[in-house]
Formats: sequence, structure tokens, C-alpha cells
Amino acid sequence: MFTQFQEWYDKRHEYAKDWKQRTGGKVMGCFCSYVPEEMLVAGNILPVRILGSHEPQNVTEPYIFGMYCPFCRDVLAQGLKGRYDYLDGITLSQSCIHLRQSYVAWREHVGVPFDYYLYMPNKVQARAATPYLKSELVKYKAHIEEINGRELTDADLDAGIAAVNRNRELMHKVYEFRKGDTPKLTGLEAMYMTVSSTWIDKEEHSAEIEKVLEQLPDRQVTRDTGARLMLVGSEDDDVSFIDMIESVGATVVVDDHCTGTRYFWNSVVPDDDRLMAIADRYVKRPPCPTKDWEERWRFPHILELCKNFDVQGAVIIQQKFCDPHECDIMPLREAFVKSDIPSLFLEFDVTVPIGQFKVRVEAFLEMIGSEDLF
Amino acid sequence: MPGMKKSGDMTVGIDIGSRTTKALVWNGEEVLSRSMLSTGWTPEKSASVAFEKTLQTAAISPSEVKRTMVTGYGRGSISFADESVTEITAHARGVSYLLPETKTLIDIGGQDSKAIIIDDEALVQDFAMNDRCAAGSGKFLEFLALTMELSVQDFSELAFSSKNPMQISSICTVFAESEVLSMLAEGVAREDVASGVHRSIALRVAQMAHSLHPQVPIAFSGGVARNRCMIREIGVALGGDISVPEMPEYAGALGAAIIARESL
Repeated sequence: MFTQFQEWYDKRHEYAKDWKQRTGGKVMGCFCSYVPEEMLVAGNILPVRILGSHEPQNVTEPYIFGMYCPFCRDVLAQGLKGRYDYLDGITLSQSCIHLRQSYVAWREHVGVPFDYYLYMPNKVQARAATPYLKSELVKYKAHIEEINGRELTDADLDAGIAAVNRNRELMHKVYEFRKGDTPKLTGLEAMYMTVSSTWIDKEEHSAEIEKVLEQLPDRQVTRDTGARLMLVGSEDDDVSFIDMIESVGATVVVDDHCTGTRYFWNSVVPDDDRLMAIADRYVKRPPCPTKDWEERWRFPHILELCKNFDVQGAVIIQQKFCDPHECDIMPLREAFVKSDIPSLFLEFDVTVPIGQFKVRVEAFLEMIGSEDLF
Repeated sequence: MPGMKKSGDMTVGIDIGSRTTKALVWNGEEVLSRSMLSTGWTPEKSASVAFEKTLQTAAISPSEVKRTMVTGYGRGSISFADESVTEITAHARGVSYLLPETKTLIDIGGQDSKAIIIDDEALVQDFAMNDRCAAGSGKFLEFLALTMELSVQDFSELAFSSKNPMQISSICTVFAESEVLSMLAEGVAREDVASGVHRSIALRVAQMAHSLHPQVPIAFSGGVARNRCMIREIGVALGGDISVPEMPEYAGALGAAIIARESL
């Protein structure tokens, strides 16, 4: 049922090249989930989230500091190795300094016809955040118009907003099937769906989700659900890790990742001022820790997810050296303790030591289900 | 403590560690026999030999064993075992039986160290393990004992005699060796260097334990718990008395055997 998503996950570059050829559209590499995809879709540009490949590499050392997070180095390695050679442009929406360095190094040492640094406000809690971002989106719109050589009309923007919103809403519907006593899909399947949505044409991705939604209600699930877990933390598209978790007596029922719920959880509320509406969506979405201050808006959202998806334990995943998420680790663990949700902390690198993590996950599951053990 | 069964039914616990494999026979009240051997590179074989040896010592046949529970890093590949449990749960269970008041357990084995918080029901409440690095493990100690051309036992006794432990800053095992060699070359007393190595491990383990807000009483298990300098340094680092159970290296195997019996 989810094989198409898996194929898209595995063959992301082949897909983008084919899309480009058959549609004649341009492809934009996105360095962060804060890039307003609605505007790219409106301009018939395929937004493609640039992710790593989880392979050891030796090409980034001259261009990015070795103690910047493994994800940022892995991302840059993909560019240096020429794997995204089909991109017409790249966009960074202001993120952490590590990803910024990946973007700058890509611009300088990989090269791409168009590049754009979008000044996404870091303090989304500021009252001026939405109007400020709108003013930046006006400039970004002009950039898209320059790439396309034509105006981006209100009708284009409406179509872009509708296509991306539809995709978000459909993924929400799929997530609903993870709530019951027996989730109709695994965390691995959900990951294939959500992660692939960050580079597949929204209409094609949505059409595939609709097929899945037709079949999900009648899907017979034979595997034991085991412990219901949530994954929380930095960027995470590591299918081998989630597969391991679900092979030892657990099901991942929800997540808080920028390649998961943070990416699609809220929609644009249509308004005559299209750019203001888009800005409002990105300012109000479940925030990345880089933007989640002075209050932490993300924590109540995470705890609400735990409640709604009946989570028994949380696995906190931390990309090594990811400062913004490191800043959240202590208070997040404390928030889980206060809510009686056990948590396990794991630090990720480019490749994950599955064997060493497995014993921790198994011990965590024994801890959660200790009444059943004795 | 979860309900213990009366004597009679015998279970076997096997702890396949990265360095040594331990096995014992448990009848619900006492350990009837135990065996330990080097794990080598074939966990299945070492587990099988340990199992046979301990049964031989207890003079029982395999058919008399009601259940065999394996733990340790090699637990996933033992075809003759009935069940497996992680070493975190097994050590907590074993130590809770031997030292029932334990609230915090430090376990230092060959390649990893753990801090485990145990609740009033002898269940794991929280835990932490060292991450992808040998610093803070028995292997680190072995490696640096070798650097000073001493057995681990002699290295420990030498360290225990020191009144002035040196500070070892390097986290990496190889860099720590360089640091130790530099100190020795500068004429620093061997016992002070040796105790500095012990202190550095204790500090690393204590740092891990502090992340869990440890409570007393604190127990210490694993093969390294036989090292009296390490016991002293762990106590200093955690600011409390440290209790060591009898045969601390068998705590995991005992826990596995107890869990096996409770699940009959």
C-alpha cells in the first residue's frame, strides 16, 4: 500500500529529473521546511527538500566545520557529489547557522543558476513576525517571477496554496489511522509518506495518498502494536532506525520532526492577502527550536500529540551537535516527566549504530512494559 | 519485589558480555553453580560452553532446566535460549535481589557502562549508557593497564595506593594513552597516574549517573566492581557509599535467571 512512497524515497533524484523532463518545470532545492512551498508550486517549480544520504563521506571538510551537525554536512555532501545536479535554484529560509553554512558552501562550491536567502524571522513570537515575513515573501515572489520570466498571479498563488493545503490535509487523514488501538500503518510507512512529500509533486503525492485512504479502513493489521511511541527531535528521515524500533515490539504512532508533523501540521488559511496568509502559516506552524523562544510553544503541542495518539513513551532523537535541539533537551525531558511519559534520549550521526541503539530501545521497552515482564 | 517462586524449578541465566560470558543455575533460593569464560567472537559457542559447564558443576541435565534466559550484547543470537532480556533490566533485577535497598546501580562492563535508577518494585525507572566510546568502560582500564605493563588487578592495587591522583583530560582512549605516557615520561609517580585513570572513568560514569538524578543507596556491579580503587573513586564522584554485591560480574546472569523463573 505504501510501496509508491518507498519507491519515491529510494529514487528521489530519478523522480525529480523525470518530473523536470515531462513537465518542463524548474526544480528548487529547499534547505529547510520553512521555505514557503506554496509560492514555488504556484510558479510551477518543484520544491525539493535537500536531505542527506546517510553514508559516510569525505568531501565536506574544507567547506563546513567538522563539529557542525551531521545532517548539515550530509546535505552539503550531496551537493558536492553532484547528486542534485538537476536543481535550477536553491533557497534557504533562515534556519540554524549550521544549515546556513551548508547553503553558503553549496552556493560557493557547488553552484546553481539561482539562489535565494529568505529572511524567515527567528523570533516567530514577535508581534511583527507575520507582517515582516510577508514583506520578505514579496521579495521572494519577485525572485520566483525572475526565474520564470513571468508574473505570479493571485490565481497562481491560490492554486499553489490549494495544492499544498490539500496534501497536508490528506496526510492528516492518514495520521488519524495511527490513533486507534491497532494503528493501520507503521511509523516506517508514515515516514516514507511524509518524507517523500517534501520532494514529490503535490498533486501526484496527494493522488497517491487518496488511493491509500481508500484502502486503509479495511486494512487487516496482523502485527502486534506493542508499545506506542513518539519520535521527537531534529530532522529525521532515517528509515533503518524506525524500522529497528518497530521490529522489537513497538509502533511509532506520531512524531515531532521537521520531516514529519512539523512540516505539514497546519495549513494556510486563505485570505485576499495571499502572501500575508502564507506568512501567517509559517509563523504559526509547530516551531523549530531555532524559532521557539522566549516561550516554548512546541512543548504543549508535543504533549497534546502524546495525548491524542495515546503515546506510552517518547524517543528523543538528537542530531549530534544540533545546538537548537540541544537547548530543548533538558526542559523537554522534564516536560515528559511531569506528564508521566517515559523518554529515551539518543544521539544521531550520519550513520546510526543500530546495534548499540537497539539495546537501549529494547531496555526502554522493557522499562515501559515492566509489569508484563515479571 | 515481584513474587518469587519457591525452590525446585531451576532456571539458567546467561550473560553474554563483550569480554566474558557468565552462566549460572538458580533454584529460586540460591545459585547452585556458575561458570565464566571469554566470549571470543562466537557468542553462541561461548554461551553453549558456559551453559554446559555450569550444568555439569551443578550435576543437572538440560532437561531439568525449566527455562534459560540470555542477556548481554550477544543475546540475540542464542538458538537454545528460551527468552532474552536486556542487560539493563537483568542487572537491575540481579542487584535488587542481592542488595534489595538499591536505588541507583552503576554497572561497568567490558565495553559499556550504565547508570540505572531502580524503583521500589525493583523495576528500571530510568537508565543511561555510554555512547559509542570506550572511555568509562572496563576496556579503557584494560588498555591503560597494558600501557603501564600491568595486569588489571595490579593496576588497580597500584592506583589504590595513590594519595595524589593525576587529572586525565582526554576522553579518547588512544589520546588518554598518550597523556599517560607523557606523564610517566615527566616522572609522575605510576600510582598517581594509575589512580588518575580510575578517577577519569569514575567521573565519566558519575556524569552519566547525575543526568538521572541518582538516589542512595548506590550499588556497583559488573566485572569492574571487583576493582577497589574504582569503588572508592565512584564513591567520591557520586558523593556516597557504594555497595558491591557478592560476585558482581554475575549480577546480569542472576537477574536473567530470576526473571526466567518469575516468568514460568
